[in-house]
Amino acid sequence: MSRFIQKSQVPIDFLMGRVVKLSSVGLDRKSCAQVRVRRNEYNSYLHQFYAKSEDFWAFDGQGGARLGDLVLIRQMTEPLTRKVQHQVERTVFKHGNIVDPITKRRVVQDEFVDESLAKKALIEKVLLGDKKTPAAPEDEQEALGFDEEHEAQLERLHNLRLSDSSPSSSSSR
Amino acid sequence: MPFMRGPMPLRRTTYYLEQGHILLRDSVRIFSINFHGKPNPLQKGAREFVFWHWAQLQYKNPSVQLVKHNNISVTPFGQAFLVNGDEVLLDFEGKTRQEIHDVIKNVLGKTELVLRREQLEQTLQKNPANFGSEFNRHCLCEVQGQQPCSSVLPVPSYLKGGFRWTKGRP
Repeated sequence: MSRFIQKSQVPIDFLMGRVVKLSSVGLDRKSCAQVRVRRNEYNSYLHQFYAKSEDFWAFDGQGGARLGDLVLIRQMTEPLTRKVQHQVERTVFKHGNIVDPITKRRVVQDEFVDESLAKKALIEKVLLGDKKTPAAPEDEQEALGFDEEHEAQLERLHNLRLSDSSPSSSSSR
Repeated sequence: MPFMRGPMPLRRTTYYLEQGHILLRDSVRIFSINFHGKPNPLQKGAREFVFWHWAQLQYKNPSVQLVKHNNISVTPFGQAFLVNGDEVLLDFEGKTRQEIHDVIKNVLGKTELVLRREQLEQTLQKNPANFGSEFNRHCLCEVQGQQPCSSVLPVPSYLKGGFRWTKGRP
Protein backbone atom coordinates (compact mmCIF):
# COMPACT_ATOMS: atom_id res chain seq x y z
CA MET A 1 0.00 0.00 0.00
CA SER A 2 1.61 3.28 -1.02
CA ARG A 3 2.32 5.72 1.76
CA PHE A 4 0.98 8.54 -0.44
CA ILE A 5 -2.54 7.14 -0.73
CA GLN A 6 -4.87 8.67 1.85
CA LYS A 7 -7.91 6.62 2.74
CA SER A 8 -11.24 8.25 1.95
CA GLN A 9 -12.75 10.29 4.78
CA VAL A 10 -16.29 9.72 3.53
CA PRO A 11 -18.22 8.05 6.38
CA ILE A 12 -20.01 4.81 5.52
CA ASP A 13 -23.37 5.64 7.07
CA PHE A 14 -24.92 7.15 3.93
CA LEU A 15 -23.63 6.14 0.49
CA MET A 16 -24.57 5.78 -3.17
CA GLY A 17 -23.66 2.74 -5.23
CA ARG A 18 -24.67 0.17 -7.83
CA VAL A 19 -26.26 -3.19 -7.09
CA VAL A 20 -23.91 -6.00 -8.15
CA LYS A 21 -25.52 -9.01 -6.49
CA LEU A 22 -28.86 -10.08 -5.05
CA SER A 23 -29.34 -12.59 -2.31
CA SER A 24 -31.42 -13.37 0.76
CA VAL A 25 -30.75 -13.99 4.45
CA GLY A 26 -32.48 -15.78 7.26
CA LEU A 27 -35.19 -18.40 7.46
CA ASP A 28 -37.75 -15.92 6.16
CA ARG A 29 -35.49 -15.17 3.14
CA LYS A 30 -35.16 -11.40 3.56
CA SER A 31 -33.90 -9.95 0.25
CA CYS A 32 -30.53 -8.23 0.27
CA ALA A 33 -28.47 -6.46 -2.35
CA GLN A 34 -24.70 -6.14 -2.56
CA VAL A 35 -23.96 -2.53 -3.46
CA ARG A 36 -20.65 -1.41 -4.95
CA VAL A 37 -19.75 2.01 -3.62
CA ARG A 38 -16.95 4.11 -5.08
CA ARG A 39 -15.17 6.54 -2.80
CA ASN A 40 -12.27 8.68 -3.97
CA GLU A 41 -8.81 8.25 -2.46
CA TYR A 42 -6.31 11.06 -2.69
CA ASN A 43 -2.76 10.33 -3.83
CA SER A 44 -0.68 13.07 -2.22
CA TYR A 45 2.28 12.41 -4.51
CA LEU A 46 0.39 12.59 -7.81
CA HIS A 47 -2.19 15.05 -6.37
CA GLN A 48 -4.96 13.10 -8.01
CA PHE A 49 -8.07 11.29 -6.88
CA TYR A 50 -8.66 7.64 -7.72
CA ALA A 51 -11.98 5.89 -7.17
CA LYS A 52 -11.82 2.87 -4.90
CA SER A 53 -14.71 0.40 -4.89
CA GLU A 54 -16.09 -1.27 -1.81
CA ASP A 55 -18.99 -3.69 -1.59
CA PHE A 56 -21.64 -3.36 1.10
CA TRP A 57 -24.54 -5.71 1.70
CA ALA A 58 -27.81 -3.82 2.13
CA PHE A 59 -31.21 -5.05 3.24
CA ASP A 60 -33.76 -4.46 0.52
CA GLY A 61 -37.00 -3.97 2.48
CA GLN A 62 -39.21 -3.06 -0.49
CA GLY A 63 -37.67 -5.74 -2.68
CA GLY A 64 -37.49 -3.43 -5.69
CA ALA A 65 -33.71 -3.36 -6.18
CA ARG A 66 -32.45 -5.00 -9.37
CA LEU A 67 -28.94 -5.67 -10.71
CA GLY A 68 -27.32 -2.52 -12.01
CA ASP A 69 -29.62 -0.08 -10.18
CA LEU A 70 -28.05 3.02 -8.68
CA VAL A 71 -29.21 3.05 -5.05
CA LEU A 72 -28.78 5.01 -1.85
CA ILE A 73 -27.87 2.92 1.20
CA ARG A 74 -27.95 3.91 4.85
CA GLN A 75 -26.43 2.18 7.86
CA MET A 76 -29.03 0.48 10.02
CA THR A 77 -29.25 1.18 13.75
CA GLU A 78 -29.88 -2.55 14.30
CA PRO A 79 -28.03 -4.53 11.61
CA LEU A 80 -29.74 -7.54 10.12
CA THR A 81 -26.70 -9.82 10.34
CA ARG A 82 -22.98 -9.34 10.86
CA LYS A 83 -22.51 -8.66 7.14
CA VAL A 84 -25.75 -6.82 6.33
CA GLN A 85 -25.20 -3.48 8.09
CA HIS A 86 -26.95 -1.19 5.61
CA GLN A 87 -30.39 -0.90 4.08
CA VAL A 88 -31.46 0.28 0.64
CA GLU A 89 -33.16 3.63 1.09
CA ARG A 90 -34.20 4.40 -2.48
CA THR A 91 -33.33 3.71 -6.10
CA VAL A 92 -31.98 6.77 -7.87
CA PHE A 93 -31.72 5.29 -11.37
CA LYS A 94 -33.17 1.97 -12.45
CA HIS A 95 -31.07 -0.21 -14.72
CA GLY A 96 -32.32 -0.01 -18.29
CA ASN A 97 -35.00 2.56 -17.48
CA ILE A 98 -33.21 5.83 -16.93
CA VAL A 99 -35.57 8.74 -16.44
CA ASP A 100 -34.07 12.21 -16.74
CA PRO A 101 -34.75 13.78 -13.32
CA ILE A 102 -35.17 17.27 -14.78
CA THR A 103 -37.50 16.63 -17.72
CA LYS A 104 -38.95 13.34 -16.35
CA ARG A 105 -38.60 11.78 -19.83
CA ARG A 106 -37.09 8.36 -20.39
CA VAL A 107 -33.60 8.32 -21.92
CA VAL A 108 -32.06 5.61 -24.13
CA GLN A 109 -28.52 6.15 -25.45
CA ASP A 110 -28.29 9.96 -25.38
CA GLU A 111 -31.78 10.45 -26.75
CA PHE A 112 -35.19 10.95 -25.24
CA VAL A 113 -37.42 7.98 -26.01
CA ASP A 114 -40.40 10.11 -27.00
CA GLU A 115 -38.18 12.11 -29.36
CA SER A 116 -36.70 9.02 -31.01
CA LEU A 117 -40.16 7.46 -31.42
CA ALA A 118 -41.44 10.66 -33.01
CA LYS A 119 -38.47 10.64 -35.41
CA LYS A 120 -39.17 7.01 -36.26
CA ALA A 121 -42.84 7.78 -36.90
CA LEU A 122 -41.85 10.65 -39.18
CA ILE A 123 -39.48 8.46 -41.18
CA GLU A 124 -42.18 5.80 -41.55
CA LYS A 125 -44.63 8.49 -42.67
CA VAL A 126 -42.21 9.53 -45.44
CA LEU A 127 -41.28 6.01 -46.51
CA LEU A 128 -44.68 4.37 -46.37
CA GLY A 129 -47.21 7.19 -46.55
CA ASP A 130 -50.65 5.93 -45.59
CA LYS A 131 -49.63 2.28 -45.71
CA LYS A 132 -48.71 0.82 -42.31
CA THR A 133 -46.28 -1.76 -43.69
CA PRO A 134 -44.41 -2.24 -47.00
CA ALA A 135 -46.47 -4.04 -49.67
CA ALA A 136 -47.31 -7.66 -48.88
CA PRO A 137 -46.22 -10.36 -51.40
CA GLU A 138 -49.82 -10.95 -52.59
CA ASP A 139 -50.18 -7.28 -53.59
CA GLU A 140 -46.93 -7.21 -55.54
CA GLN A 141 -48.66 -6.58 -58.83
CA GLU A 142 -50.69 -3.74 -57.32
CA ALA A 143 -47.68 -2.21 -55.60
CA LEU A 144 -45.78 0.60 -57.27
CA GLY A 145 -42.42 0.03 -58.88
CA PHE A 146 -39.25 1.25 -57.17
CA ASP A 147 -38.98 4.52 -59.12
CA GLU A 148 -42.62 5.46 -58.52
CA GLU A 149 -42.34 4.58 -54.86
CA HIS A 150 -39.15 6.66 -54.57
CA GLU A 151 -40.82 9.64 -56.26
CA ALA A 152 -43.81 9.40 -53.93
CA GLN A 153 -41.47 9.34 -50.91
CA LEU A 154 -39.57 12.41 -52.14
CA GLU A 155 -42.86 14.24 -52.64
CA ARG A 156 -44.00 13.39 -49.09
CA LEU A 157 -40.64 14.57 -47.73
CA HIS A 158 -40.91 17.81 -49.71
CA ASN A 159 -44.45 18.41 -48.39
CA LEU A 160 -43.33 17.78 -44.84
CA ARG A 161 -40.47 20.25 -45.22
CA LEU A 162 -42.83 22.88 -46.65
CA SER A 163 -45.33 22.42 -43.83
CA ASP A 164 -42.43 22.52 -41.34
CA SER A 165 -41.08 25.83 -42.65
CA SER A 166 -44.50 27.49 -42.84
CA PRO A 167 -45.14 30.25 -40.22
CA SER A 168 -48.05 28.40 -38.51
CA SER A 169 -46.04 25.24 -37.76
CA SER A 170 -42.86 27.06 -36.72
CA SER A 171 -44.80 29.23 -34.23
CA SER A 172 -46.45 26.17 -32.68
CA ARG A 173 -42.95 24.80 -31.84
CA MET B 1 4.66 20.47 -10.50
CA PRO B 2 5.62 16.81 -10.42
CA PHE B 3 4.81 14.76 -13.49
CA MET B 4 3.42 17.19 -16.06
CA ARG B 5 1.07 14.56 -17.36
CA GLY B 6 -2.48 14.86 -18.60
CA PRO B 7 -4.41 17.60 -20.40
CA MET B 8 -3.98 20.34 -17.78
CA PRO B 9 -1.52 19.27 -15.06
CA LEU B 10 -2.00 22.63 -13.36
CA ARG B 11 -5.11 21.07 -11.83
CA ARG B 12 -2.89 18.56 -10.07
CA THR B 13 -1.03 21.06 -7.93
CA THR B 14 -1.68 21.50 -4.22
CA TYR B 15 -1.95 25.23 -4.73
CA TYR B 16 -4.70 24.83 -7.32
CA LEU B 17 -6.60 22.31 -5.20
CA GLU B 18 -6.46 24.63 -2.20
CA GLN B 19 -8.09 27.35 -4.33
CA GLY B 20 -11.43 25.52 -4.27
CA HIS B 21 -14.08 28.05 -3.28
CA ILE B 22 -16.99 25.68 -2.77
CA LEU B 23 -17.23 24.25 0.73
CA LEU B 24 -20.39 22.17 0.86
CA ARG B 25 -22.66 22.31 3.87
CA ASP B 26 -22.41 19.61 6.51
CA SER B 27 -25.85 18.31 5.56
CA VAL B 28 -24.70 17.48 1.99
CA ARG B 29 -23.34 13.93 2.06
CA ILE B 30 -23.43 12.83 -1.58
CA PHE B 31 -23.05 15.02 -4.64
CA SER B 32 -23.33 13.58 -8.12
CA ILE B 33 -22.97 15.33 -11.45
CA ASN B 34 -24.01 14.16 -14.88
CA PHE B 35 -21.89 15.51 -17.69
CA HIS B 36 -21.07 14.45 -21.24
CA GLY B 37 -17.67 13.44 -22.61
CA LYS B 38 -18.47 14.92 -26.02
CA PRO B 39 -20.82 17.76 -25.13
CA ASN B 40 -23.09 19.75 -27.38
CA PRO B 41 -23.23 23.53 -26.74
CA LEU B 42 -25.89 23.13 -24.02
CA GLN B 43 -23.87 20.48 -22.16
CA LYS B 44 -20.51 22.22 -22.46
CA GLY B 45 -20.66 24.17 -19.18
CA ALA B 46 -21.08 21.02 -17.09
CA ARG B 47 -18.14 19.32 -18.82
CA GLU B 48 -15.92 22.34 -18.19
CA PHE B 49 -17.00 22.54 -14.57
CA VAL B 50 -16.06 18.89 -14.02
CA PHE B 51 -12.76 19.38 -15.85
CA TRP B 52 -11.68 22.39 -13.81
CA HIS B 53 -13.42 22.16 -10.44
CA TRP B 54 -14.29 18.55 -9.63
CA ALA B 55 -10.93 17.72 -8.03
CA GLN B 56 -11.03 20.99 -6.09
CA LEU B 57 -14.50 20.11 -4.83
CA GLN B 58 -13.39 16.70 -3.56
CA TYR B 59 -10.19 18.09 -2.05
CA LYS B 60 -12.05 20.74 -0.09
CA ASN B 61 -14.89 18.40 0.90
CA PRO B 62 -13.18 15.12 1.82
CA SER B 63 -16.21 13.74 3.67
CA VAL B 64 -18.63 14.16 0.75
CA GLN B 65 -19.02 11.27 -1.66
CA LEU B 66 -18.59 12.81 -5.12
CA VAL B 67 -19.96 10.71 -7.95
CA LYS B 68 -19.50 11.34 -11.64
CA HIS B 69 -22.06 10.19 -14.19
CA ASN B 70 -20.99 10.21 -17.81
CA ASN B 71 -23.78 10.35 -20.41
CA ILE B 72 -26.55 8.73 -18.37
CA SER B 73 -29.04 11.35 -19.47
CA VAL B 74 -29.50 14.06 -22.08
CA THR B 75 -29.61 17.05 -19.75
CA PRO B 76 -26.58 17.77 -17.55
CA PHE B 77 -27.59 18.01 -13.89
CA GLY B 78 -26.26 17.88 -10.36
CA GLN B 79 -27.85 15.93 -7.54
CA ALA B 80 -27.09 16.52 -3.90
CA PHE B 81 -28.33 14.07 -1.29
CA LEU B 82 -28.67 15.44 2.21
CA VAL B 83 -28.36 13.58 5.50
CA ASN B 84 -32.12 13.36 6.00
CA GLY B 85 -32.55 11.79 2.55
CA ASP B 86 -33.72 14.95 0.75
CA GLU B 87 -32.57 15.48 -2.80
CA VAL B 88 -31.49 18.81 -4.28
CA LEU B 89 -31.64 18.82 -8.07
CA LEU B 90 -29.68 21.40 -10.08
CA ASP B 91 -30.20 21.92 -13.80
CA PHE B 92 -26.95 22.68 -15.65
CA GLU B 93 -28.28 22.75 -19.20
CA GLY B 94 -27.23 25.85 -21.10
CA LYS B 95 -25.19 27.21 -18.18
CA THR B 96 -21.53 28.18 -18.36
CA ARG B 97 -18.84 26.80 -16.06
CA GLN B 98 -18.91 29.93 -13.91
CA GLU B 99 -22.69 29.93 -13.61
CA ILE B 100 -22.69 26.28 -12.51
CA HIS B 101 -19.95 27.05 -9.97
CA ASP B 102 -21.97 29.96 -8.56
CA VAL B 103 -25.21 27.96 -8.42
CA ILE B 104 -23.58 25.16 -6.44
CA LYS B 105 -21.84 27.63 -4.15
CA ASN B 106 -25.00 29.62 -3.45
CA VAL B 107 -27.35 26.65 -3.04
CA LEU B 108 -25.18 24.02 -1.36
CA GLY B 109 -22.15 25.93 -0.12
CA LYS B 110 -21.34 27.39 3.27
CA THR B 111 -21.80 31.14 3.51
CA GLU B 112 -19.00 33.58 4.42
CA LEU B 113 -20.54 34.03 7.88
CA VAL B 114 -20.54 30.30 8.59
CA LEU B 115 -16.94 29.96 7.41
CA ARG B 116 -15.82 32.85 9.58
CA ARG B 117 -17.57 31.38 12.61
CA GLU B 118 -15.94 27.98 12.04
CA GLN B 119 -12.54 29.63 11.67
CA LEU B 120 -12.96 31.41 15.02
CA GLU B 121 -14.10 28.20 16.73
CA GLN B 122 -10.98 26.44 15.46
CA THR B 123 -8.62 29.14 16.75
CA LEU B 124 -10.29 28.95 20.16
CA GLN B 125 -9.55 25.23 20.35
CA LYS B 126 -5.86 25.78 19.62
CA ASN B 127 -4.11 26.47 22.91
CA PRO B 128 -0.76 28.25 22.23
CA ALA B 129 0.66 26.72 25.41
CA ASN B 130 0.51 23.19 23.92
CA PHE B 131 3.65 21.43 22.77
CA GLY B 132 4.17 18.17 20.94
CA SER B 133 4.53 16.67 17.47
CA GLU B 134 1.39 18.47 16.16
CA PHE B 135 2.24 21.88 17.60
CA ASN B 136 4.83 24.59 17.07
CA ARG B 137 7.10 23.47 19.93
CA HIS B 138 8.06 19.83 19.74
CA CYS B 139 9.48 19.45 23.21
CA LEU B 140 9.45 21.52 26.42
CA CYS B 141 13.24 21.68 26.27
CA GLU B 142 12.82 24.31 23.51
CA VAL B 143 11.42 26.79 26.03
CA GLN B 144 13.85 29.12 27.81
CA GLY B 145 14.20 28.26 31.49
CA GLN B 146 12.99 24.66 31.25
CA GLN B 147 15.10 21.51 31.59
CA PRO B 148 17.71 21.00 28.81
CA CYS B 149 17.05 18.30 26.21
CA SER B 150 17.86 14.79 27.50
CA SER B 151 19.42 13.99 24.09
CA VAL B 152 22.07 16.66 24.74
CA LEU B 153 22.62 16.52 28.51
CA PRO B 154 21.98 13.47 30.72
CA VAL B 155 19.06 13.97 33.07
CA PRO B 156 20.15 14.19 36.77
CA SER B 157 19.43 10.93 38.61
CA TYR B 158 17.06 12.53 41.18
CA LEU B 159 14.67 13.39 38.32
CA LYS B 160 14.65 9.88 36.84
CA GLY B 161 11.74 7.55 37.49
CA GLY B 162 13.85 4.76 38.97
CA PHE B 163 15.24 7.08 41.65
CA ARG B 164 11.91 8.72 42.39
CA TRP B 165 9.96 5.51 42.95
CA THR B 166 12.71 3.78 44.90
CA LYS B 167 13.66 6.95 46.85
CA GLY B 168 17.32 6.46 45.88
CA ARG B 169 17.61 3.13 47.69
CA PRO B 170 19.66 0.73 45.54
